[in-house]
Amino acid sequence: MTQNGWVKPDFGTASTESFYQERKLQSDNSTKHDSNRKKRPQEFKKSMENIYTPTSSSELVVQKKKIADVKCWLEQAFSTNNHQAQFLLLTGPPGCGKYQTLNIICKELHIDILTWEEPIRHQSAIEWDIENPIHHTEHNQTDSSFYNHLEEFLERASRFCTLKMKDTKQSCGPKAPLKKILLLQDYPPMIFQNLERWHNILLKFGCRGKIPAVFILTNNKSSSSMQIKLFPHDLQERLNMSTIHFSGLANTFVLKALQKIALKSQKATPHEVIQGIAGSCSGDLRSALNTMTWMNTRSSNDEKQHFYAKKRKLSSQRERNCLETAYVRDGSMDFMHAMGKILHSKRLSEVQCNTPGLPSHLLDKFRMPLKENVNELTRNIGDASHKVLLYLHHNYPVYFNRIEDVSKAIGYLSSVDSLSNQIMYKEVYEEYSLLTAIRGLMFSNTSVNGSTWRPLRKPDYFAITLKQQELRAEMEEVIGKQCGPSFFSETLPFMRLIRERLKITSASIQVPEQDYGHKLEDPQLRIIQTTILSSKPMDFEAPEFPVTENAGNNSGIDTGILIEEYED
Amino acid sequence: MSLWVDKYRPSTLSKLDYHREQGNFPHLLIYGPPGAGKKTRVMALLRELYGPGVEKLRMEHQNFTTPSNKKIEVMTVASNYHIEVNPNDAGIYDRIVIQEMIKNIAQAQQLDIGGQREFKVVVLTEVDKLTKDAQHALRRTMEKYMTTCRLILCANSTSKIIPPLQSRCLGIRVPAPTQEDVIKVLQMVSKKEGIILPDEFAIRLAEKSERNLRRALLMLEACKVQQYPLNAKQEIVEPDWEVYLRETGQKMVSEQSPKALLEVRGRIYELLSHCIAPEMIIKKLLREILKNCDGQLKAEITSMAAYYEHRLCLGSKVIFHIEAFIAKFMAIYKRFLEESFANMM
Repeated sequence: MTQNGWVKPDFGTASTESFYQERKLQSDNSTKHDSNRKKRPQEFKKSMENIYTPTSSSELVVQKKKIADVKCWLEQAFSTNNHQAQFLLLTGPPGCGKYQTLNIICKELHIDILTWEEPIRHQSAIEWDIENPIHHTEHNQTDSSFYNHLEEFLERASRFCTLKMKDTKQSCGPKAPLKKILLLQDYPPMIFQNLERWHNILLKFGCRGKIPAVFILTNNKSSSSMQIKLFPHDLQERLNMSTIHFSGLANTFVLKALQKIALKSQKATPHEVIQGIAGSCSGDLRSALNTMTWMNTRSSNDEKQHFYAKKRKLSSQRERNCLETAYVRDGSMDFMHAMGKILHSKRLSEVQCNTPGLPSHLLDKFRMPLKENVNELTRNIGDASHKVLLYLHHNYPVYFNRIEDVSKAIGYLSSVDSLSNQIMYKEVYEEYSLLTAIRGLMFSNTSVNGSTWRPLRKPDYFAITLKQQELRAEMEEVIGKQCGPSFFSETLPFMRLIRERLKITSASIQVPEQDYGHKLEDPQLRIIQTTILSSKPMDFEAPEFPVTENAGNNSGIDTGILIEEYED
Repeated sequence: MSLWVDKYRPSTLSKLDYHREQGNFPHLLIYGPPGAGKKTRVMALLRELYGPGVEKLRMEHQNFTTPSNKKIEVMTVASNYHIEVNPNDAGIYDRIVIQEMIKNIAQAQQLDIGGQREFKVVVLTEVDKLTKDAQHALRRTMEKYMTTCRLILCANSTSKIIPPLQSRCLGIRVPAPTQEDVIKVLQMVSKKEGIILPDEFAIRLAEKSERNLRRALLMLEACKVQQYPLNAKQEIVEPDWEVYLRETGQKMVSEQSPKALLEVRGRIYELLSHCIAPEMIIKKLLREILKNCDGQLKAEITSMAAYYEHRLCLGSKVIFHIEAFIAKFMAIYKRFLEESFANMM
């Protein structure tokens, strides 16, 4: 049997024997639907994350309101004698305590959690199924078995539960510890192959099942589409599903938690290290804990050296760098943070090394060295360059003082856009273009504005393109043919002028509609005619331009008109 | 009530008011400035070929699938004999749309043998906006299906059409009508409508329309609606967005700062959201701000405008380039103001 080598030495004392025994016990008593989570704490028994799992809801670091929300939902789910299943969706970034919250509250309320486990697990862990080989082959099937498995689980869980509940109601009374909820927190990629089936399973369960189900969905900013796919709005509405969103933990929360744990663990973790970990974990307590564990094990190995360093107070640059690299979390930087660094670029105040002076005609190109490593910064922005560019473009003018600098900066952006719009070798060009944009913006800003608060705004670009599409589609529908650019710039504005007046006159004269018909020569126009006459005259009016100062008001008018149409 | 522009659109070749020449039928490339009558000519030609049947139009939504399994929907307007497409709707996938569609059309046969014609016609509009890729694809497709289908390409200028494509088509230039032409048409229309059009006003309209007949007719109708007994000195109605753009230009001249730039950007976004062509925005803006510039500046700024209009065609995010032009202008103009101020001192 292959032993996960790194688990033991790093996390200390779990002897191999006890490890196995536990496993055996597990596989003996577990039905295949047993909680996946239950096993994990034993596997990683000594990792800090799990030693210091909170034991009561007062110890949770999660926001109090969220805890109350979850509790409230659970209580409500069991209090109502509703025969429809209740659904709850917990979302949030990784390591913010979604599962822990649920787990602890359930414990306090004496609720069992039944976790669905994806069947593929059994395949990979052959040794677990050795006693039950038929079991194993059963799962070694095609993807469709995955859905069957899920369905079966849901059905069994509900049926089993109903039977039990009837029993308990008769014998033990309402406060019996046999209340159960279902928990789904793994969504294997197969699920996306047949989303319809997944939705159907949920709907079916919603009709039949009688125990509440909780879904935990870990989502970062980049994968928010997952939630939309798995739980689209209409489905959520039909299932009457409530959603509680956990946000990433604030740094102070993480700091407090870490300090508490450091006290408990009786291992001296220097305060600045804890602060560093808390600062770099970006709201992920789990990773912070793991980092701390690792730091501690390491420092206990070479404690002497560390101690020495501390004693001498050698807080040299090198030492700090070493520490930083130790606990800084790898991965994408926070998007907003990166934007700020680019737009509000900081330069060193004095040159450290002697650079050869620039020739006189290039003196205006001289800049102090940047504080940031731009290449690294560019690499660490995890988002698509297209999006980064739009954000940069939308927000840069606020950070500039002089129009000359702005004109240079936007010149770079313009080059970047034409550079990135290539069909061949797109990835290469994208990287170059992003780097050009960032460096261009940093270079051209000669006088960074003071440190006033400037909110980062979402680019209007998306809204504008959406509006364009809507207008185009609307006009296509009304006119009945495609509209070239000349239509929008010439025909439409005049059409509005002409129609506006006509509406009044034609209404007063009340000419019968068919009179127009035979006069028409162009058949395309007949289409227009009928659509206009049949629909309300309002529909046809193009949105008006705000010739006066305030451009903002117009959007309100536009949407007003559009909404009216959707109602039809 | 239909617009006069459409109502008095000539329907046969013989009814055309000007440029009465006609072409025989290889592939055609019809080009000319907007409002010169390209479309009108195409329709008249088709009518001549197939009779009134071409006017039984129907709208269709065609679906195409790209190799990357993206679905594109393109709207076409078709009769039994011809089909009209604006392949630009497909964006960068225009190549696929063109190839697939022409293949479909060329291979389909009429059910009724009596109705079978020698060839069908595909009208492609705004060909100058096609990607190079699509233009090359079009070249092959054209030769392949020459026997069963003819293409009529419409474009504003030939400069953006690749030479091989130009050489495969018979180019027909449809120049903008002269001012006299415009006046003649205006008078004809007003006579038919039974309104009195003072000569002076007709001349002013023709001047204001920039030799764009569509515009001239629209303006005439708008003016008539506004105030009927037409007065020679009456104000000529302009599209609201042009007024708006002119105000924007004045803002650019009056203040040059990052804050002013943001404001102007908001206005440009407003225009873009009304589907005003970005090239048009740059052009009209340039015309407005040039009024305030000295001789040497004029050249500099115009070359700036040309440069960024070119960039506009290369890039994908329109606002970047328009804004770049605006910012460059602001910087240049500010420098100019400072210099002239220093000289005065």
